[in-house]
Amino acid sequence: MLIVPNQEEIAHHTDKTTPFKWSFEELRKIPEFGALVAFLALFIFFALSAPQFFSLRNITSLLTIIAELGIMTVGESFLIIGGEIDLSVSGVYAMAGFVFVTLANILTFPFGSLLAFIIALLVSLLIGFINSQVVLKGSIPSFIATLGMMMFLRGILLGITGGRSISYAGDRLVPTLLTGIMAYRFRPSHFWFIAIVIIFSFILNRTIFGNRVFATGGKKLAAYTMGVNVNRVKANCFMISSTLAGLSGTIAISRFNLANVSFGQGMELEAIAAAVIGGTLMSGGYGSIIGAALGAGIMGMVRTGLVMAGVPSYWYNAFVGIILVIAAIVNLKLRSTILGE
Amino acid sequence: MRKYFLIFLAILLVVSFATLASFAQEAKEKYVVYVVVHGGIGDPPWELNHRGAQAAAALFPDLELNYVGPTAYNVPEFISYLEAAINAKPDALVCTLTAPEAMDNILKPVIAQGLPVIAINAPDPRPSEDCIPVLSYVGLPDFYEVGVNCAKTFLEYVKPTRVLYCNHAPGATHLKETGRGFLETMANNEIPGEEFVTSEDPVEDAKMTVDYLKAHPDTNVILHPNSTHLEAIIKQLEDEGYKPGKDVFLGHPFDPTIPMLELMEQEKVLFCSDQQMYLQGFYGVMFAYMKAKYGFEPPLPPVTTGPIIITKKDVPALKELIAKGLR
Repeated sequence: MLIVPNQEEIAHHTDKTTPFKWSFEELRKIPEFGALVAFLALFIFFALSAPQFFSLRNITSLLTIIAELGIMTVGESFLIIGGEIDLSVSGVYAMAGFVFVTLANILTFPFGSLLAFIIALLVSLLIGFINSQVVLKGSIPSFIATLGMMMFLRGILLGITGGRSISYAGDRLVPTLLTGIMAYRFRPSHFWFIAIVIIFSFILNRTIFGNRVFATGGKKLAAYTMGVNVNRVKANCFMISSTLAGLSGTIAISRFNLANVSFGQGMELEAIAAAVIGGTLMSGGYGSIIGAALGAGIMGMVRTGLVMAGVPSYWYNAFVGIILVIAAIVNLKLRSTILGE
Repeated sequence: MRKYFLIFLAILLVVSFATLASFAQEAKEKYVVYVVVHGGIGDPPWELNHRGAQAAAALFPDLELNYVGPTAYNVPEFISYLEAAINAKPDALVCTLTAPEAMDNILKPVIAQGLPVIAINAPDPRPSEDCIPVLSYVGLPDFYEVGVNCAKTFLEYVKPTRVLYCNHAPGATHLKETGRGFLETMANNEIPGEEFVTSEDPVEDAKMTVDYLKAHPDTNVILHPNSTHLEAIIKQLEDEGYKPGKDVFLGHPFDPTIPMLELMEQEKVLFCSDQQMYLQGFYGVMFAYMKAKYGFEPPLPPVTTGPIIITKKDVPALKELIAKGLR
């Protein structure tokens, strides 16, 4: 397995020889621990302050919101760990949804929505590829390149739709597979989200590619000298981020049954915030997919919890801001030893 | 240092959670009514709507009002608030039907289960068999007609050569319809014009609009659906040498705020089209409460609250009402 100078930061991912001790000091070395503590603390608080918060109906509603943000966050985390950032995810989210709805409405043959769905994901993948080439070949900071892409995509959507919503009129196959209501109001998107978290967590922590993502984001030059094709790794991360944003968009649009240019506005910042709350370092080279999922859980839970607790809505943003900062601080402090601080 | 930081963090946590907990009131022995609007709740018209809802709630000691909505127009966030409000198991719900296709799966089942729902401000424009079966709707019956009324008012008072409809929230259906009614009426009178998509940011919007005027100097009429944005545009126009009310005529298709009335007094804004947001909040909550507590059926939809064209002559009376927090 590749060894790079940043490896000590992620030793816990690969070290199977040291027996694990269930002490607090050991627990807080788990990258997801801080996010888990913050998640549970918030969950318990809202469950105590709002009687209906801990109801099955609300849990499934929360899962729906968390799944859509969480899928985007998983991709964003992958890219941030790889040392880049993607601000175009919300634009991809809206564009993929628009492509899906438009094509599904046109492709009226049986299972046309499946083809529309695949094309929407391919368009998202292509946008990720273009982002990567602009950043890597053009040597443009990913912040600027993807900001430009986000504005470009939203501009295109606005130009095409003129601001009008487009209702979904295709077959029900893909909407049912993505967001159809199941028993107890669970939705398939909840399980897709869990599956994606497991798969991408495995890829990040248990495969050579994942190790190269850590290496590329941590010490790019060292990784390069060790033979890692850092540009290829980053390009793959861009495509993962964009494709998952597209998937998130098609899920949301399937749920709403309509596409609109305003959908997903500001979601890029929520996804980045969720990744950071979940323990991902903005500087790259460190992070966790499960932590990112918990971060998305915190983001999704806060507003719902505030509504149900009866907090005056003018105060929401103030509370959301303070809760997110506290969650991030708790997370950082709990795992500070692992970075030797 | 570390110790002080931890103490600070602990205090911050305690204060935040204590404040939050103080808001979490006991709902027992109270009729809980949630009002969920598409917002932004920081905008003056929505503040007025909130005040109307609060006034209705203040009439009934056993009515607990929760008024929620996003700070800026955002359909997914609005929907998540709506779901949270329903999950809180209220006794009645008041909401805007901003994106009815997206709300079908949420509202239709709970209405079928008996939750009284009153719609305000944004109706369900679909054929009646597809509509969400709310008990009543309070607000403007048709946003297209608002635009038509605005066009007619301009035609009555000034001589438009070319018109502009600014849209700062292009995803909002009701704004789109207002613009369509305005531009089509102008076109029927052989006056050219177009919709111009601007920005959610009033400062950016003002700059874009004035730039547009420079590029299209024959434009002498602007209709803008947001009062805060319109104020910024007037300031920008004056900074760049235009004379609002003299060489550019401005109108506002929605609700009059104090600054709008003052601008009408100064003859910089020609008119506002009032939809009585206060009444929408007031009636919405009152109908919901009366249904939840006593089973009273509300009036059949639409309970029309506008549009009412307001010009300079109406300002003194309106100012008095605004000072009382009623308009």
